[in-house]
Amino acid sequence: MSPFYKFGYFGDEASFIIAFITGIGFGFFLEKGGFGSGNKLAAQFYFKDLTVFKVMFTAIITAMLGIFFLGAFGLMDISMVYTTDTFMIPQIVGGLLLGLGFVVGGYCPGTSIVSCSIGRIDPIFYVIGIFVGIFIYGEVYPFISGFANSTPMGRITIPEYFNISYGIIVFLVVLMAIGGFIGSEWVEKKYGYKKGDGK
Amino acid sequence: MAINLPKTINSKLAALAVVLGVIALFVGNPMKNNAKVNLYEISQKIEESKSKVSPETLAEWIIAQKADFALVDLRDEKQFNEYHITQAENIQLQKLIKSNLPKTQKIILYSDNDGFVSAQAWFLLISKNYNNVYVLDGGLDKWKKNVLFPSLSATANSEEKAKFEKMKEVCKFFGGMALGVDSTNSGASVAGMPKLTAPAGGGAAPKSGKPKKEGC
Repeated sequence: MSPFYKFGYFGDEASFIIAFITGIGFGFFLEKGGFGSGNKLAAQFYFKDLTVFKVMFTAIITAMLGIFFLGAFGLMDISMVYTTDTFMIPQIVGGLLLGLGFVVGGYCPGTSIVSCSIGRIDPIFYVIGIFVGIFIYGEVYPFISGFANSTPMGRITIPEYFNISYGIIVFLVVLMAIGGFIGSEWVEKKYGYKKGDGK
Repeated sequence: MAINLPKTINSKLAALAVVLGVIALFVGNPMKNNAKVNLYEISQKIEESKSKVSPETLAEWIIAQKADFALVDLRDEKQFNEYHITQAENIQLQKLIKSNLPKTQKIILYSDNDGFVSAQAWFLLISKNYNNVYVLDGGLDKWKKNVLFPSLSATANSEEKAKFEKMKEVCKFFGGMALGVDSTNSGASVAGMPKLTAPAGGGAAPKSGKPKKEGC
């Protein structure tokens, strides 16, 4: 029965080793997927190259279907999988900020680390920026804590919120992903790099 | 982008995803009713008395409008309609395992002073892998005594008096009333609070944390 850690199949120390190995695998495949290049990551926002979008959605539906069916076969207790609390408005604002940083800098926090690992220089500044940002946030937190904790909704999932079955959401997300794949192929054909673009 | 070769694999994978998605539609809910109980974990929870919430703490949460818990009244419908704690929903024991209480929230159970029903409900939910299940310490009786109609014993020390002052405010929020020192007043006549009789005497309310022992 999984999650293995929550059911006590291994302890804290073993979990660090497993996390380390999983992390290396995760980083490796991010890099292989093209997430190590800020150019490539940013290209999706200009509809030039939607690889990143496609890789993300492939990962999302693979994980989603895997977890869903592990749960359905009784191999995983989904309710024990950690989800963070929802704070609606602050998270929308935070998401917008992250998106803005993503477009401007070409990385999200994870991919900037991946990109550092292959020896690029630009993500190093990005990572420094992350830590400066964290420090500043920590310093101003007392003044914005009211906002940061506003509109709390607890740990809620979409099926719980709308009181519909998980299966419907799984089905809709799959449809959304397939639509996204078809759409992104189309967009790439229309706006993407043509032969001779030097790419 | 090389499209030719991956396209066939991609479209096969996409088709597989759609098929699984359709199956998911019919499977509905991946969370089953079968339960696997980790007895060690449960016994540890009991030992650490992580399974109780004091009435005062609950009152604080309700006043602070915390949204991370669900309050469940286990008594029958008639009793529920007569009086229930703000925000509580009425789910009787036999309906409890079928209810779709969120596993991601704290769940606080209460019935009358008899902790037996709450304890049964607690075990059922823990068996269903609900992690954050608590029983309102002392049940509704202690809620009445400590939150709705707090009173102060004549021998109370200054700390207890300070707590009493605080509870005076809290009880107003819930439509109760403070009974003053060793009062023998009956709170039964308070509007909207039928059949709530305040116990005579009784000590001041403990703030939170370790629940006070009481014979019930």
